[in-house]
Amino acid sequence: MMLGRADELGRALAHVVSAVPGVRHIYPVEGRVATVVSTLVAAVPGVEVAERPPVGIDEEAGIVSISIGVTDAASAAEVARDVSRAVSLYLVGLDPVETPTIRVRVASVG
Amino acid sequence: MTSDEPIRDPDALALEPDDLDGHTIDELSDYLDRDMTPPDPSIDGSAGCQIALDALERLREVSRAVLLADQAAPVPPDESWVTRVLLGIAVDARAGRDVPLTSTEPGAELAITEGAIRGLIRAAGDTVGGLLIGRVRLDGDVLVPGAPVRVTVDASVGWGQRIPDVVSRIRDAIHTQLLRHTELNVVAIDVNVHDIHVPEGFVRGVER
Repeated sequence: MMLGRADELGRALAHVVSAVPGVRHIYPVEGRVATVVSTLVAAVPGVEVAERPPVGIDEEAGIVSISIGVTDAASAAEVARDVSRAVSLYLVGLDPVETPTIRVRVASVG
Repeated sequence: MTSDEPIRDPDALALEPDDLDGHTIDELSDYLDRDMTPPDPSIDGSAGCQIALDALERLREVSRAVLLADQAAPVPPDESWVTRVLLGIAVDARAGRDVPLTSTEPGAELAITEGAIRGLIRAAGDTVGGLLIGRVRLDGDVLVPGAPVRVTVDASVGWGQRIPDVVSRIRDAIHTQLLRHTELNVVAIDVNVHDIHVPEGFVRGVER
């Protein structure tokens, strides 16, 4: 994938995701990715960011994995699509060697 | 035990801490009692705990009034329905399978967890006056887009409520929420009323 340092990328992506309307939580990634960012992400006002790594990055497989909670005011499906688009736009801007797979999982609503 | 199997041994649930990322319903209840302070990252960062906390908060509002009325009644209070609701919350909060969502973005894989879906169904039910959701089941191949899915909920209805009316309202509320948040092909919503609870102001059917 070659997108630069994973911790910096994770932090940047967390801010990108936090800015998407309807996102209420960014949950820690689970053990399904081989490599995850190792640094904490500063909390963004209005969005609760978990202390454990919030964005999973598997550089070998080319996967970016994000688990979110959405507010009931927005459609969970639409918010997931918006998050995916936002992350995709951000990553394209980094001019990656390969386009990564973006996994967005809505883990709670309300 | 899978998430869709009926609860046969409630005590067994207490031996499955992974359901709520290592926490129990009692711990979450205590956390609510403390107004969620000091913050516990292991709870705040758990989707399952957040779903359960939301449900517990709604349950408390209703159960407080109901239990007060039961204690004033000349018959022993029956807390079994509250227990069933609590057990349902614990089981339903588990993430379960990832239900796919469509995307037009190449390389995007989107999903919503079964736990999130059960949570929003429970929330829809709890917003309908006179009813509490005890358990939620999704029957059907939720991993296949467009496959027929049947929703079944167990419920407790408040004394004095006309059950067909309450059931009709809850079915509408659940259907609206599922259409809004998911892409499930919901073919049926079955509501099984297992209990009748007594709201505050009623004792043995007599309004005070």
